[in-house]
Amino acid sequence: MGMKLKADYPGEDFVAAIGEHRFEIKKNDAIEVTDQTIAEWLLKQTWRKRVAKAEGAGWNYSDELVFEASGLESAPVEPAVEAEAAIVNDVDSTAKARKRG
Amino acid sequence: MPVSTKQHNVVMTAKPQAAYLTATAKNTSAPFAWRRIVQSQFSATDYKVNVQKNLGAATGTFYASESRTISHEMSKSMPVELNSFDVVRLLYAACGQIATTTPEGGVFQHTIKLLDLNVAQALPAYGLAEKAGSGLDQEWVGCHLERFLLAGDGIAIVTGEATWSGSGKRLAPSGLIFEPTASFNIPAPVGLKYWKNSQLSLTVADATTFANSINYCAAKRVNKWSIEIQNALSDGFRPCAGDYQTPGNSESGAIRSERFIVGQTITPQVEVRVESGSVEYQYLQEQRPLDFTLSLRGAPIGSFFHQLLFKMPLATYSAIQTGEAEDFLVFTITAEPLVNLATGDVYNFIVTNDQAGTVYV
Repeated sequence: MGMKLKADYPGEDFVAAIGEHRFEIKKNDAIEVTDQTIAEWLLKQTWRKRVAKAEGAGWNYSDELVFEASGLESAPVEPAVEAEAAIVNDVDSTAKARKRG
Repeated sequence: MPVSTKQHNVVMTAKPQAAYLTATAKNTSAPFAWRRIVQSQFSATDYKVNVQKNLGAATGTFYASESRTISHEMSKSMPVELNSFDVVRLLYAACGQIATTTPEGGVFQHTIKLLDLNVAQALPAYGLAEKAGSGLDQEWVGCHLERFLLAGDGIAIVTGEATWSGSGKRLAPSGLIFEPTASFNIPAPVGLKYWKNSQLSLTVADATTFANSINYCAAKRVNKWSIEIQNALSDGFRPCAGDYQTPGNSESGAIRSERFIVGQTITPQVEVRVESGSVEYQYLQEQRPLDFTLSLRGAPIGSFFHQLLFKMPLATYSAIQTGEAEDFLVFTITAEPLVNLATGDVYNFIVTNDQAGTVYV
């Protein structure tokens, strides 16, 4: 079963690639991903973007990319998001993972 | 007239090929499909034709009477000085997955990781070509990055060495036309931002908690560093695949039909001065889980910088060797990543530059 991903991203375009799969998502655009494995990969890789704007100041979530997914039978990336947040140790409270339907 | 090494130009495709054995066409207007790489020293392609000779049969001499073409192979070492533009391409070739976001107008952040084997099994394949005057002029289809070494020493420009391995498919002539020749298809590489090793920062801290942080640069302990990515690639010559040097000619020798990544090792290594209270051997003995972060922060772009950030969120020291440099004791530390099963992450390269993601994929 595929799912629809809607990019909700404050920046400009988002681009990702792995193997023969390439994605280009315009701001506020939606794409249809029919392969659930690919969709899960896309969600996992891009849920949040970590950036270090200043050395010594720790990590900040100054750049957030959130997908709204529909049609996904389970939500496999939620634990991953939690784990990533724990590793980064500096979680912007406004950058909460958006609940997916 | 002999051909000078200074005439030797090397180019690669700006993006991965559409398919392993599909050559990328050359176009004469932006965005150009091919990109010139200025090597830091001369290095040409190694082309090999594998043959089988009839030495096993009696020829009455020490020499064969027949040589049969079996297959074609190429490899290419590409020594470069690392700039924030091309390093994205090389890291993506070495690691296999990339995601680009835009934290600020005109600023792009490319996160490059080891590909997820649940999704893909092959690294991106690129086309390479070289031309030296009219004496050397050839193109290679289906090249994978087998090894990529990044290194910084002292305060010099940070260097890289990419080693490619190709399908063996050779095209000649290459059709390369360099700017400023009319109707050129290879633009001049301009506006590049290079990193110097004086821009380095290197920190190690406890994984997850970031406690016990050691800032090796603040204590002026770093001498040099390197990160080596070594990929193991499948053989890729497949019987009855019908892929030959000359299409349709089965006597012309086989070329590879596919190439999968079947293994990888990444070896970050740093040489640091030994200091009073050094804990490195203790960390090695304990196999302490560490967050290992190496960064090069170069020229500014907006409120960001041209930056290369290498991060292993979960790593251990796998070896420490004690030596000397300039009459001071030094540790050569080798770190090794562990996979975080919750995220699938092993390591991340995050490159910040002024080039959109569509430049690379």
